[in-house]
This record gives sequence, structure tokens and C-alpha cells, in this order.
Amino acid sequence: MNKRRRHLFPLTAASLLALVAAGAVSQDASETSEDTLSYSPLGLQGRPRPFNFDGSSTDAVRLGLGYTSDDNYKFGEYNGLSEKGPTAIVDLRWRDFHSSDNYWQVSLSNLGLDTREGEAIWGRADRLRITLGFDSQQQVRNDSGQTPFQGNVSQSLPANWVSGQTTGDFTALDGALRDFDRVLNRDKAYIGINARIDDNWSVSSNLSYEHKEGHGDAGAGIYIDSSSADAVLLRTPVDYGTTEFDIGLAYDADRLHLNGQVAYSKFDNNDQLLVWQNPYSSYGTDVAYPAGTGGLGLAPDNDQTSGRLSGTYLFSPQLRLQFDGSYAVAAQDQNYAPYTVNQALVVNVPVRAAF
Amino acid sequence: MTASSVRLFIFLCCALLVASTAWAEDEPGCLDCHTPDKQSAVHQIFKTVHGSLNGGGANACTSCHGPSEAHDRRGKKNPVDISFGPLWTSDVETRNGSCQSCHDNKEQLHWMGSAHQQENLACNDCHQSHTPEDPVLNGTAAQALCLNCHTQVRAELQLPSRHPIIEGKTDCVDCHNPHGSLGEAALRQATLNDNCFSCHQDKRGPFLWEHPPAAEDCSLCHRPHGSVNERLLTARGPALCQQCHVAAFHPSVPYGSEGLPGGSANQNLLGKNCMNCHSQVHGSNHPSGARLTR
Repeated sequence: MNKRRRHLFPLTAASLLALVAAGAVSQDASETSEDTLSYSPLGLQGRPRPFNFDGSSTDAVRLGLGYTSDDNYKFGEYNGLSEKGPTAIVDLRWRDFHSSDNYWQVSLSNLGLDTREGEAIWGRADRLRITLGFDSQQQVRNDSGQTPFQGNVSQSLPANWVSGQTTGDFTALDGALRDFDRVLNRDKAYIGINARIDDNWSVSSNLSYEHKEGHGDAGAGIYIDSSSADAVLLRTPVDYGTTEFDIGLAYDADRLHLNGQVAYSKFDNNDQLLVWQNPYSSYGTDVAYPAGTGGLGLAPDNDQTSGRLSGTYLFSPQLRLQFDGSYAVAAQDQNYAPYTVNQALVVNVPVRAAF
Repeated sequence: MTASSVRLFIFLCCALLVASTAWAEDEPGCLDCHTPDKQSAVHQIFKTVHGSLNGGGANACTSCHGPSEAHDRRGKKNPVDISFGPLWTSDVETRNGSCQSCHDNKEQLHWMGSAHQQENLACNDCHQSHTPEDPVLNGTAAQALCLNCHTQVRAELQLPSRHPIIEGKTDCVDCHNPHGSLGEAALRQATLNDNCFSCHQDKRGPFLWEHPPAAEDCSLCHRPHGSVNERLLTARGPALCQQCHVAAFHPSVPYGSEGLPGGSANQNLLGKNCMNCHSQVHGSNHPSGARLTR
């Protein structure tokens, strides 16, 4: 027992010393924490690391059935519910945080509609994120359009068309009208990558392709002089493809933050010229029905390359320098359409420089 | 009480203190009191990326709330170092500084000096970190949040001509960066036209025949959030065109009833008005399109 008692006092003394030491360490830690708590906008102090997900997941699937009682383009202008009938809708949410430091996220919305979209993300916490997605949109501008013209990029009138100098003379118009919906559909697919190289540097890049298809409308006139024209409203084809790519590099330090990006966008229109048959007979036979035709230029192919540098330098909480500079070059080099598509007209003048 | 009993009591107390100190150094004691509770959202954070900060557990708490040692000792008396509310709410700069320790990349690059920063908004005024999915990262929910303050825009989104914003197909953040930018209206792109061209590339050109206002500023003719006029126009045709074109071939006075059926024919009021002929208002690439008719 004596032997044990002798040990008690050294242990007690050691314990007290340990407490004092712990208190001293705790004091240091407290001071350090106060330092890190000082206001440091956009600062890197205290960036917590590492991640360690707890392995939980959050999943949800939602199934829906709907019924639209009437055709109504305005009601369904953007939501995919413009037409009468039943609709099945599926939504999915899946988030999975593995016990390591990576995670999955998948979301799908409005499957079953023309306005569906979805996205899948895989990432390693604070270091890498890869995103894949798609997005479909629909715009219904009108579901009761009618036109006597047939064809898409080359539009002609029916064989029994009765021409005239005004629309009142078009006696065959009612029988020639055909229905068309002014609907535009966009389908986009994209991929994005974000990666942190180290505490200061990170890189990101995105690539997307979008296809837009459907019909619009446009007015077009055939002129006999500079002020007199016979005009029609035409259904215009829309068949666009757009590819976009960008890559950016960012630098983040306590005071200096920079973000540089280079982007490229290329627009392709699969249709260059809309040709229509003149329904009027106001002018000479060369331009009147049935021989007269007109040509309307459609959106030209084009591309744009741009660079952008933006950043911030913090001198103090009260003084900072912010800047944002951008330089872009847009170009298009599409072949010119013929001055006139009317074979009966001979035009020997160059492209006008001004008017 | 004998001396040996006193010594034993002192030893046990010291041993308990040492043991508790050593245990406390392993991990903060947040979760001792903040236990899983259906009434509390605290533990929901462990279903998010924030719940795994610094290895997860209580270390995740201190990653954002600070070491909070006083609170750890007497939780009901002492606040945490950084509180996002509703109790002991820290000042805006402290709260935002906690978030910006990590969120310092290009999205937040121009937060300082931004409109929302100038309005003393805190990150947690919009964001929720203690939910499995931050509602503001969902487009539709984010719009609801934006429109709580931007009520004029809320009204404009209900107008007959509009972008598909209330349907969630276009989000506020597709065009605007709520964390600020150096451009007008916190737009993401360097110019307003660049913002529009990021979706409407067919209007980008360059064209052989430009329409100067279209190349200069889309908002001269269009209201992006909504309009009572077709195609988001700021005024109906032909009045919109006549705001500039007042002395050309066509009468530079407002067209009246003489243009309606039953009156004398005036094609400038019917159909697509001026655009019955001048349809290429964004520019024409046709050799005969000098007057934007081809």
C-alpha cells in the first residue's frame, strides 16, 4: 500500500502539469482561432480539409400522371403541356456520398415531356467535379397557323392558285390553306469539368451542343421599285446547331484573385435561303405569279472567339481593385446568296456598299 | 475523512479532468448536446458536402462555426464563435467570411462591391447549408427567392410575352450572377448583347447589313423579363420602329384608323406591320438586303 501511495503523488503532480500544459496549449489555440476568424473576404485562411463523407445517400423517385383537358398553346407555351391528352412524368433525385471523399448526384426532371432535363455529377470533394447533362425546351408560339405555301426552304403555291393584285383576289386561298404549328424545340447536351490543381489554382472547361428545330415566321416582300412591294407572311424553317467550348484558369490567393477564360462558339444554320413563289400579279410577268420568286436570306453561319480576364486585388477591407476585360472576334464567311433568285431577272451590279 | 481518502479523491478528480481534456482534444463536443432530433435540422448537414468538412462529425461544425470553445464548455450561456442565427447571429461580414474561406472562386470573385453585398446580404440569407439540397441551387426555388425582393420582375414574368423563367427552363442565374459582376445588372457576360447571344446565336452576325441598334443594345427594343407586346418588344409596331424612323419614305406620324380594314389600306398596321417587308431587323446577309428586307 505504501508503495502505491508513493505513486499517487507523482501521478497527481503529473496530472496537474498536464492540465497546466493543456491550458497553455488551449490558450494558444484560442489566439490562433481568433486570428483565423478575422474578416478575410475571399481569403484562403481556414480552408477546411480533408473531406470524409459519411456514406449517406438521399434518393427519391417521383411518378406523376396528368391529363390536359384542352389544346391550348398559351397554357403549354413553355411547359410541354400544349396538347390535349394524358401525360406521364418521372422525376428522379439520387445523391450518394461514399465513405471516401467522392460523390454522385443524378437528377432527372419531367421525363415524359418535351421539356425534360437531367444532370449527373461525379466529384471528389474540393478537387474535381465532372458534370454531364441535357436540357430540352419547347416553345409553342401558335397551334393554329395556316398557310397556302407548300414546302420548307422552297415554298410554292398549289397548282390551282388564283393570283391577283390584292389578297381579296385570292379566291382559291381557303381551299389551299394548310395547318402548321409554330413550334420550336431546343435540345442541348453538355459536359463540364472543374478541377482544383492546388490551393491557388483551378481549371474549368465546358463543352455543349444545342440543336434548335422548328418553325418561325417572317414577312417578305417582292419589290418593283424602292418603295412598292407585295408582301407575304411565310413559315420560316429553323434548323440550327450551336457548339460552344470554353476553358478557364483561376488563381486565388489571399489578396489576388484572377480568372481567365477563352471561349469559342460556332453557329451553323442548315438552311441559307428561303425561296417563295410570288402569289401576286401586280407587276410584270417576270416577277408575277407563277414565274416570280423571291429569296429571303436566313441567319448566316458564324463563330465567335473571345477571351476574358477578370480579377480582384484586395489592398485592405476598405480598398480594392477590381477589373474585367473582354475581347471577342465574331466572324462569318458564308457565301452570298444570289442577288435575285428570279431567273428572268439579270442583275449585273455588284453588292452595294451602302444605300 | 482520512488523509488517504482525501488524496484518493483529489487523484480521481485530476484523473477525470485529464481524461476529459484528452477526450475533448479528439473532437469538439458539439454532437454531445446537438443530438439527432426530428425537430432540429442540425444533423441534416451530414447529408451534404458540408457535413464532411475536416473529416466530418463535430469537426464539420467547427469548420464553419469556429472552434467555439466557450460554447463547448457552457453551451446555453456562451454563443458559438460564428452563428448564422437565429440565436446569437454574428455580423454579416463574419458570416460571409466563414463561407468565403472556401467559396472564393470565380462565381464569388466580384462579391465585394456587388449590389447584394452593398445591401448587407449574408450568404445564409439565400443559401441553406443544413439541408440535404440547398433550395437555392434548384432553379425554380432560386427564382422564388429572387422574386421575393425583385417584385417588379415577378410581375413582368407574368406578362404574355416572356422568357420561360417561371417554368424553370430559364433561371435568373443563367443571365445574372447574384454574387456580382462588373457589368450592368450583374450580368454574367461582359455586355448585355453577349448575354443574349449566348442563347440567340442566330442574331449574332456579323451581317452584311447591320441594324445598328440591334448590334448595339438588344434592350433598345426588347424587355428581357416580359412585355405585353409580342417578342418581348418594348413597344408595339409600328410605334417602336417610328421612335427612330421618323423621316423616311413612310409617314413619320403615328398610323391611325386609316390603316384598319374598312378604311384606306395601310399595310403598316396589319400583320407584322413594318416587318411585313423589313423582316430582317437583326441584320441581313443578303446582297439585296440593304433595307433589311431580304
